[in-house]
Amino acid sequence: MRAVTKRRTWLYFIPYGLWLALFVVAPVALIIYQSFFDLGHHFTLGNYSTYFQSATYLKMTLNSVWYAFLITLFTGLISYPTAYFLHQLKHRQFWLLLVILPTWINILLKAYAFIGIFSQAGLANQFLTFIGIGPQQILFTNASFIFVATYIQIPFMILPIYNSIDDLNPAFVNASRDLGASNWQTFRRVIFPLTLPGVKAGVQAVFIPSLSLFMLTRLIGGNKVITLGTAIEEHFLTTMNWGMGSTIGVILIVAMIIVMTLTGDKKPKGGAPR
Amino acid sequence: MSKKLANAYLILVFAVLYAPIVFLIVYSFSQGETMTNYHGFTWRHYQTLFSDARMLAIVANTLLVALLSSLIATLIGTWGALGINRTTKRVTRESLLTLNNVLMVSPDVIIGASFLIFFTMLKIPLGFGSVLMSHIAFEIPIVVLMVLPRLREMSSSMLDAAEDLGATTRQLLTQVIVPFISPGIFAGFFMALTYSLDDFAVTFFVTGNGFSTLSVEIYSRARQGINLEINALSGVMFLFSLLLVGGYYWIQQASQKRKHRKREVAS
Amino acid sequence: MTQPIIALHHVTKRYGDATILKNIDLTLESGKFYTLLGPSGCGKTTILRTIAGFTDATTGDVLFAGKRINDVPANKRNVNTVFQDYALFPHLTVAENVAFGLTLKKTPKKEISTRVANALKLVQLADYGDREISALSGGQQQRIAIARAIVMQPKVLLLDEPLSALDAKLRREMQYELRDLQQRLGITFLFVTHDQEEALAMSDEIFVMNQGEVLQSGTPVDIYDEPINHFVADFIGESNILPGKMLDDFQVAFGGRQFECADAGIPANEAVEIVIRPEDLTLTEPANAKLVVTIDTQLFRGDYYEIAATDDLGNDWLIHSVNPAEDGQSVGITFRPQDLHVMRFGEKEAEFDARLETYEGEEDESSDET
Repeated sequence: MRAVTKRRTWLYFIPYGLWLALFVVAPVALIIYQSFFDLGHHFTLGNYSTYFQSATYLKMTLNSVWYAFLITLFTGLISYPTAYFLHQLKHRQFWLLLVILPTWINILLKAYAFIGIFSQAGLANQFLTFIGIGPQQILFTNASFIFVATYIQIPFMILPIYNSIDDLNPAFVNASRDLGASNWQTFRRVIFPLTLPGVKAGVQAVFIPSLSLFMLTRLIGGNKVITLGTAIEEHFLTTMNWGMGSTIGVILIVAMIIVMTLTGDKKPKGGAPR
Repeated sequence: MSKKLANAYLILVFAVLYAPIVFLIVYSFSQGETMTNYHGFTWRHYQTLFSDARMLAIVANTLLVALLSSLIATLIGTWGALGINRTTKRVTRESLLTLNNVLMVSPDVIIGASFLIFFTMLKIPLGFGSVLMSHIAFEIPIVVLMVLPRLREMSSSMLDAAEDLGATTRQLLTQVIVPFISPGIFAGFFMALTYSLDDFAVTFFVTGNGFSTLSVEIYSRARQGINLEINALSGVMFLFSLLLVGGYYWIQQASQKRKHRKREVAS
Repeated sequence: MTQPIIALHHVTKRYGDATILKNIDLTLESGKFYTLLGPSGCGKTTILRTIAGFTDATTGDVLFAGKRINDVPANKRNVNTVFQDYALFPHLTVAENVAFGLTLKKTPKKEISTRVANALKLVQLADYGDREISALSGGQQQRIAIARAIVMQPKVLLLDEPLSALDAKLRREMQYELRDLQQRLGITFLFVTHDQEEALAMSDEIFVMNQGEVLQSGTPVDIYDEPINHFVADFIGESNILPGKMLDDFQVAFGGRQFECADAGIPANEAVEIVIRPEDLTLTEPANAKLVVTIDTQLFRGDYYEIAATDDLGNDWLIHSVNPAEDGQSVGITFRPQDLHVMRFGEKEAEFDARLETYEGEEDESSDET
């Protein structure tokens, strides 16, 4: 390599490296460190033993994972066909923009809208009354939490799937048809496997945040669902038990790493260094 | 037939996607006090909003944090992306990218909680400063991710050419690299801006008592129930989002068109 | 002899374990058109980048007008490069691209505009100054890349496969133009290509390279007529290469028979290789032929027929003929003694040249007769 380019590369890393050290490495280290301290600032393994021996914590974790799984599943089921049909449209760039647009609106405003829609005399209940079922308690139920969370996550799932469909070489589809595959066979054996990376990226983008959506559990779920995120927020800001909060945080980080590994790109990354 | 079914499905999805937003904005013009039954048109809630001094101060705070943090994050992020692009060892580059993406994939609560511990340990008072620093921190990786692809697109022979024509390292940066990656820098800035405006969880953790941003304010008001002033606020914010999206896409389109034309010529 | 403008002395280049250039010695004189020719990966581009200053030589000296320039950075060298992908700056207009280097040097505005205008005129794109790069065709971008380099008035212009992205017709046109440009400017061109036709058409002198070594250098005619070894013979033009045995000076045996040839200075009974170019073979009646072959197949190439044939011993022959032949037919082929070229195994260029010296005079006399 050239001597000229190698020189002074470190200069580029002063502010960026400082950021990496202070705001990426240090906080992660601190949250792990903090998880070993109790309320009286004494070193302890107690937080972890409490966590793993308490039925409440374990059940809460399982619940949180289960809800995140449901949210991811529903989001995926709705998003894949949407992305697929969207890609066949003429002005697909424009429609894609319309999918992205709602993500630019503050998540709390969207949650707030559902407080109105799901309220006792709200739009949803008016509809239920209209079709003869009669008004129901919708707000503050598990179902409403899953519905709103799914609603919020849909664009984040559509985008990566759409991109992977867009990357798909149409010649593969033609080749499959040429070799005698039906529409469904082509989809199942060619299109879907090749767009799987998009689905995986979508799962990454949806599952992890779904574990930690504490504002939705408060505003929509009425604290009936407690996610890992809700628990962390409560320990940090309400009960001030940072040690326990950090412990749950570490659990969440571990969960995140597991999800990332499961959905990660197993193919070796190409491209030689310059 | 299947085409019609597909279209019907898409219409349904889009209807669900936009219903809450339309719903919010429609009721911002309703004379009632709740989001049930439309009571006739009025600007009243907008008037309340624009005479709410506390709310206006919070809007100003939010915009100040967003603009300032995006600006600083864009500077640091672009500088960092240039650095990452200069690394020659693959291991170094991959580990830098992994570290860069930690904040991108971390759940908001984790970022918020860990920053709270960080600020408390360093005895940094919670408020404007801590919020600004946190926003800069979580915006930097997105700037890097927007700038890096442009840097990669830059062919090494273009840099060789500039050097061949007598450019010094400094001239290379100011006259070739920065102009070339400017679409990426702008995109990074816009993304940082929206990340800042959109953030709730991180701010919620590190904001303390004296300082508030729009998201935090909406959260505390929404917990108290329906207040159509928030609907009016969402109307204003929707308009603002549209402007931002428009600006962002205009930049994207401009750079896309350039690429497209080039491809046409090449083929 | 004039002072060489560029010289490489014992230049070696290694990346880790891989040796890209092996002890390269090379001199370029002022005002000539040189070509580095070889397959991809042979190190020709590395030589170019070493001269331009983008790559350091691991060992050895790079001299510019007699001065060692190994440590002079690329932006201070008086050579300029035309890149394979043109490397035009997409954010600048055509004129801004051409003016780029002059602007960096803080050349007066007035001088810049005249020099840019002249350079654009030289590449026949005088009216294109205000255009965007993306609005140009590949051929036009190519010319702008040349204009951008020559506006700097370099002593040496380095061209890295500049024609490879153009279609065949445009490439032929550009060959004429590049040759013409070089002669008008009177500066040294060092052209890199893997296309032997391009090299033969344009160069004053060709360096044939393979695996980091210069195998043979010389005028296009010398290299075509007297390739030094199997690789060069095979790489440049098409050829029939047959195993043979030297019997005596000007006498060689192959295909089971003895032939008169134009080579000497090789010990008797040494195993050698014989090269005969397909266009030097003439179809004739088997009775007055030097060899008889059976036609396998033929392809019509427009200006000639390319005929594949086999002789009695199973050797394959490639023949270019104006007239068609018939598949399966037995035909005779004939050739002149000077159309045979004998190659020794493992002979280096210096040895080859020395051996040629010993009998060159005699050969010239004999070839004058025909």
